[in-house]
Amino acid sequence: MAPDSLAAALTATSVAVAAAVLLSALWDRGAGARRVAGRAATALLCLLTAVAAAGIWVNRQVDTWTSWSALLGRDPAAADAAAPAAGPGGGRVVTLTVAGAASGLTLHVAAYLPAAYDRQPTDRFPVVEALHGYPGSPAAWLNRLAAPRHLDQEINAGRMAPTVVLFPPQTPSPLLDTECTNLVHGPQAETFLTVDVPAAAAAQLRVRTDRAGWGLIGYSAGGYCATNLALRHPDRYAAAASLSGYADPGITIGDGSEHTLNDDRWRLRHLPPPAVALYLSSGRADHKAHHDAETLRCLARAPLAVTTAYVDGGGHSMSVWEATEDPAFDWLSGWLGRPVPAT
Amino acid sequence: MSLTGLPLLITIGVIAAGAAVGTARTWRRHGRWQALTRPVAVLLTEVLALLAVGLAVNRAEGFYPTWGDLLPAGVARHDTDPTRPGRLDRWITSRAGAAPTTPVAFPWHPPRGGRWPVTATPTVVVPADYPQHPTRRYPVIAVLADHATGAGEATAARAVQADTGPVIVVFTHLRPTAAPTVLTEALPAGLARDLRVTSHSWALIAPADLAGLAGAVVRAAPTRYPALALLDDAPEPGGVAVPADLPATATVAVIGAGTHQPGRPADRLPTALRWACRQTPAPLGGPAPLIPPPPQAGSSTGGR
Repeated sequence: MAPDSLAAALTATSVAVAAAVLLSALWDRGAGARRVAGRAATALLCLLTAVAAAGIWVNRQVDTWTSWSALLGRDPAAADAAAPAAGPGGGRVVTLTVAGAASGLTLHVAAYLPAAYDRQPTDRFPVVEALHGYPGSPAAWLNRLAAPRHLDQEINAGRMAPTVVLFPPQTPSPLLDTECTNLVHGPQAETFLTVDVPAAAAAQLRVRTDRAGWGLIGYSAGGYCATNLALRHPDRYAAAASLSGYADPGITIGDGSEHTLNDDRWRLRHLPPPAVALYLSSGRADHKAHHDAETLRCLARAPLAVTTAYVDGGGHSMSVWEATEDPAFDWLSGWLGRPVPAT
Repeated sequence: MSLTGLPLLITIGVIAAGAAVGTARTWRRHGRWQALTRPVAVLLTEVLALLAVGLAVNRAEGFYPTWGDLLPAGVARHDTDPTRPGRLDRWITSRAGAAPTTPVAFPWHPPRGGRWPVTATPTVVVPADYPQHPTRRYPVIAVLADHATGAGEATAARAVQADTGPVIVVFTHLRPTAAPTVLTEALPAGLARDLRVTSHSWALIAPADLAGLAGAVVRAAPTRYPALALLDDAPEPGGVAVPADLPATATVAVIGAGTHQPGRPADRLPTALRWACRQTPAPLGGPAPLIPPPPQAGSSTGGR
């Protein structure tokens, strides 16, 4: 029973109800200090169980912790190994262990392999790195956003080329927000995502290794990650899609770069624009994400290409990202090189 | 009452506080019903308190701005970017049939193409599957053909498509004096009118004597031409100089003697075509439609 499962949520709710019943039943029991202690303990139990139940329901929404070991900080991404496989005739999900020589991070990365990966055993495939939000984990892409099913659907419809999609964690600790940057005195997430993950994918999978074959996508914090990494590493990525991403990290990196080199608005105002393509989408009612996307669109100059796609209404929620992931993946595929025979 | 408005938040907060007070004041009432009323009152207070906290967080973060976002009632599809047919689509089908087995080559007369500085009429080769996939857009390889590539160009294009996949190839036959705008503006506009082509991620192939023009084109339109193959016909390495100051994102290959893509002179155009095709995206249908998650009465639809 995983901490993001329905069973866990129902169990926690039941325990909260039982705690309230216990509080009622024990209220008049005992005498003196013992009674006071009993009341305090059961009241505290009520509070804790109610908060725990609410937390588990929230965790079901964002998939931050997908296993009890991850919750206890033992292996944040271990649950990704048990990610659901795609449907019959579709792709499959495998797990890579990325021992990051450059970043010093060793983390698990889930990888969606399209059906063509097995049908065309000599081809090398384009790659998309899919980045999750904060709080969150790669499991949100696999479960809440059902990325494997959506990818199968778009590939089978001919709107997307067969593509390997990697789901790396952007942090070694679910409660540490890196925004895919190299934190001073902290995890080197940017190096992990832009150096170690591509190196591991090239070593363990049949993927393209050139810039034309690599793209990024992300939602919320992962959306910022996607645009920021593409702008910072145009020699490694051809395109990036941001679903409700912001233009700045909103965290303290430690060197002040959250106001300069890691602020996409600053980059577009002060640095030559790179020849990459960005897809910025959000709900129009997600005011900050929408405002930031419009700001980036206005600041963009050739050769930077920006495409925007907004849905009316919509908030900063999974329902918006599930609604926009299909066109975003399709758009991304249109900017990446095709699968190629190995030479 | 707005989901993110203060009235709802205050109302729920007041009700939660009232529930807490009411629970305390009525704790010892209800006699034998206490076993039921007490837990219900405690749970109600907890739920209301958590609801107030949730509303406050939602108000601050904007996760669900409206009731429709929180409680999606359904979805509606809006195809915002349908693929428009090219003006030559029907002509190609009538000429080659609905399911040709080989790529279709034909002389192409672009709009105002008479003003282009060419040595011969441009030739276009469309892949065999072009008529069968009327919603797909195809990437383009533009070849600055001259005497080095003129012979057997269509044959080379056909062979390459069998090896590496479908792509539209246009042999422009431009003179070295041509302005880069022919390739950055006129050619894309003409192809977009006549065929279903992508608007970016094309590839360019140029012989040595047109390397300067090719470099100017890549510099002027780096997202349209991120890949450049230069044909080096010299018997020794170093016969062609890679243009300077190309964008860092440009991918360049020199096809010729002593390079990483060697081969006999006659093989260099096919080699370059294969390399260029690999740099381009696969032909794809138009993107999936945006699906606004919470269609609400009176609201307009989203679009790109």
